[in-house]
Amino acid sequence: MNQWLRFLQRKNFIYKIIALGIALGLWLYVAKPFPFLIP
Amino acid sequence: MEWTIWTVILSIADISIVAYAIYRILLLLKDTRAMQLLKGVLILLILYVISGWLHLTTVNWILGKSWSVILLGIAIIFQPELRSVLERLGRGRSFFQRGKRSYAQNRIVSAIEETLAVASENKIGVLLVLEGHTGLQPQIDTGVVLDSRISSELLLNLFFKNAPLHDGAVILRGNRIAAAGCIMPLTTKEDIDSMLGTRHRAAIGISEVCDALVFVVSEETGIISVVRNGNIQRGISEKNRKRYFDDFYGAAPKKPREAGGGKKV
Repeated sequence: MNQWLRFLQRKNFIYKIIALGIALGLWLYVAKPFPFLIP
Repeated sequence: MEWTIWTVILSIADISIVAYAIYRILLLLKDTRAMQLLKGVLILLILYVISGWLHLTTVNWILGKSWSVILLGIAIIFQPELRSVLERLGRGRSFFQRGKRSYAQNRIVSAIEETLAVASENKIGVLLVLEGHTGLQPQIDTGVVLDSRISSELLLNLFFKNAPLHDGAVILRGNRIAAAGCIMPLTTKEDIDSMLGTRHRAAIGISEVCDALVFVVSEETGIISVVRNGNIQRGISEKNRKRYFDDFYGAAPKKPREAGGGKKV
């Protein structure tokens, strides 16, 4: 568990994942590329 | 939405730009109190979305109505942090400004180095703040205005035990000693070494809200620490202090190295 956390904290990896997740979520919500998924 | 190679490329570019912007904002907020708040807001946002999906009308209505209040509250409570983040964002230093330290800057560095060395050897408490781009006039106003030339003798005299101005910080502005006996805001961080006293907490506190370079010498141990952007490096060597000076004066291409020179607390 600790090793995982250390891996995620290295080079701000966790922030990169969060940023990508938020951007992807926003894009899915705004652009609505898959209307069957998010109407 | 029609899927062509062009729309795929545009979508990837769209997501990448937004992701990069969010990533930079997260880095700016990292290690500030605002980060904890951001986590709370994210949880509320997730709850809001989920309640919408599950048609939990009342929960969704309450969360929906509270957004404006929450955002206003954030702006008021975290005004200092937000200001510091925006200042850091606007400060962005150009490569073209970098060159060698000037003669006057070298003289200041020598005077500070001498002060730190003597203070460390004799265990004299030092809190020295070098003003950066962010003005420290509010802090200068809390002390005694000196506006005098920088010399190690004068600095040591100011910090000498039982001297009237030895408590509080000395602020250097440009090549002048602006004021002594200044009161600095204490850090609200909870994850710092409990062995660190008020002097160190004040050093971290002021560096959190501005771009000043702060030096501290512990009265108990004589250990020299350097503080910048809320990060303290204890027991830092002269070589690494030089890197901090170079970075502060925009003289060197390298950033101060965190490892090897001191213990990050």
